[in-house]
Amino acid sequence: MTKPAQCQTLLQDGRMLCIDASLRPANERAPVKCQIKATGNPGQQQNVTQKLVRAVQLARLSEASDTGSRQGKQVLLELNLLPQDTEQHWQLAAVIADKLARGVLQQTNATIYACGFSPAWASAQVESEPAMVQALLQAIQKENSNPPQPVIAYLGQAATASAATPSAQHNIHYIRHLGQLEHPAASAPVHRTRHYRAWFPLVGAGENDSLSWVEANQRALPEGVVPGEDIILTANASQQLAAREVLQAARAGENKPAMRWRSAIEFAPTPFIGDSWQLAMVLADRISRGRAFPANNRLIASGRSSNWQSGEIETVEGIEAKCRLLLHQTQAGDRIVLPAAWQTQLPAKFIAQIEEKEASCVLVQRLGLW
Amino acid sequence: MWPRFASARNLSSRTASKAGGLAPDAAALAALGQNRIALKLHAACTVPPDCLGINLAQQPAQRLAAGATLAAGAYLVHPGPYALRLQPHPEVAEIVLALKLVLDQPDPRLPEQRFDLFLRTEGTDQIEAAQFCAQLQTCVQQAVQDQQLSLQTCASAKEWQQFRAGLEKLLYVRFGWSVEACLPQDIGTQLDAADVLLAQTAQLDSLEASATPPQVRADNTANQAATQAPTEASVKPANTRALMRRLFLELPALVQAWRQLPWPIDSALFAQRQLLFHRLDMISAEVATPAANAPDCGPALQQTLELAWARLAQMQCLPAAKLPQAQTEINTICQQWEVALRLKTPIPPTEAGRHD
Repeated sequence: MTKPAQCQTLLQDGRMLCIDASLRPANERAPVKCQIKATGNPGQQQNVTQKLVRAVQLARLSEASDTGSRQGKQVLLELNLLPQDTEQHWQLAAVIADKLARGVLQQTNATIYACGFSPAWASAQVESEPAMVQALLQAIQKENSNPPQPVIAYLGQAATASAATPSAQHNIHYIRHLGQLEHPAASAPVHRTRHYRAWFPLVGAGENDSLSWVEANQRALPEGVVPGEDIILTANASQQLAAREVLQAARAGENKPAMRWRSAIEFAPTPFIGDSWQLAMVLADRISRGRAFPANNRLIASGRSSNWQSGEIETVEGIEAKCRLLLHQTQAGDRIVLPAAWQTQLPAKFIAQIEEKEASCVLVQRLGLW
Repeated sequence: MWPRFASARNLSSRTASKAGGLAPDAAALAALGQNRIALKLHAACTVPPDCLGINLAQQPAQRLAAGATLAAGAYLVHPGPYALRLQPHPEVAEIVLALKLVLDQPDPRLPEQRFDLFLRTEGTDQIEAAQFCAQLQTCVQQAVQDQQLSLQTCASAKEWQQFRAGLEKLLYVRFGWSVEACLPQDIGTQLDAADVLLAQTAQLDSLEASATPPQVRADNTANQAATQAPTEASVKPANTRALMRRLFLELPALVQAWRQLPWPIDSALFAQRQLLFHRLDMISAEVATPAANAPDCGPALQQTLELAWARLAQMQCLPAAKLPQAQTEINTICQQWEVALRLKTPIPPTEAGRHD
């Protein structure tokens, strides 16, 4: 009898974390929801929830097309314990639980364990620290030997595995990347991604003005493969739809025969206000797909459009506050892109001051060739 | 009247019988101006119409017009124009430059034309347009990576003009060819950067399969050079001996060009500069008679040579006020050669080149 989707992992304090995954109707909810059924510091709860939701969604880029029963469903992940802020080895377990729930990985009658993290989940790389792996293997041995139970373990590959000898019924897989989940052979092709991060000024009441970021991750697909839905990570679920629409319209204006990439667009956890993030996202998307020139240092853009397919860039608000922020934060090699409509309203000598910092600034009417 | 034994005709027929080479056939000649830029002669030949001959036996090389006779060892060159496409930015596979490249009239101010020097030091039996283009591309991409040429996100018309001017200067100083037209093109309907990445992936995967290191970073960020040149081969690393020869032959031209920069009148800098040129003379002497156990410094020499030419192109556009910075750059290049040739131990990197 198959078990419900579940993956277990050992925490640093030696307790076994169980992650249960189930599907619910989406109804415009976020694609992934995390519930932690343990009391703890609310800040820590929030931190872990955010990390989990991001990790799981970015890890979906390892699936070229939409597979499994994803359509119209939300994946709910429930944790019975709250990991420490600094821990990360539980992340692979969450990723696997999510794939089990959606049918990407097959649940059998074996208990599934995992231990690993990634420097960048969109790249599908998996790593681990040997000590954590050893601890988990010992715990698996202890819990499943008497009487022997079927077990599968997915362990991020650190160095060459010098693990505790697994018993015959234990199925231990060392993986370096998520592609190996479906094809355990070490020679499974590694998908490689390109990514680019662009920045945009976020101004509000003045005290918390800052540069926020959006990062586009692109996974190349062979010809003929239909890309799965774009993965879009925003601070608020409601902003996801806006971002999705902008992306679609901007891409339509590119005159490309087919989309050969699956994308994961990730925004910084700070919720954005207004529309001025749009230009940064569109440019990050193009640069990461090899269709526009990157900046020498950071690309910082502010702009929107009501017709992205035409590429016309329209003005956004907060010119004074944004220029002040830019003057303060610009570094050498930065490239600033602003709407042409700002021409008459830029502070005096703004561009000269930017250039003094060895950065450059351009005002754009319409997105052209690059 | 005695026959003029030393006449070109006699020379060439003597050389032809010695070398036993054949004059180029019609097909080889027809390729000139199409997919071939230059052809080295193995027997005497008359320069066909629309072509020119470059006789390297003289110093400086002699250019001969159509109808003249060339001896074996000389080059037949079609001056173009050639329509070439190169990808200027290593990370942006879908934007190329459509170039129209032409070999211009010789510049009387130069002791030797740059392309003549190119043939002398880097010339092979045939110079195919595609292979030449690949070399141009490598040069341009390096300049972009070094931020000597700037391709900016959403470049303005002015920024584009600046880039184009820098590119033209670079190709002229490094290769001796002139750019008649340069248009950026979106080739997204013909080529997808996804295919470029997939090809690189396949290459990396096969390398990993044959090697056994456990951990290779799979993530592919902005550091992979993607060439879109029509031919597979880009610049092949030549051996040390050939590179020493290149350095020996090219150094005088570089030094002369450096000497002729409009240096400001500053006795302190002048004194330093004289020392610098003296050191460069020493390097010249060193590569003229390489020691039997010459260090294997090929890649370092090549890199520094390319850098020297690229920087010269940049220096020739600097205002006089920025020339002291150029002197520091030349010093760095000189040091790199000295280290490569084991003439000096490396000095810890200073802020050479940074200008505050």
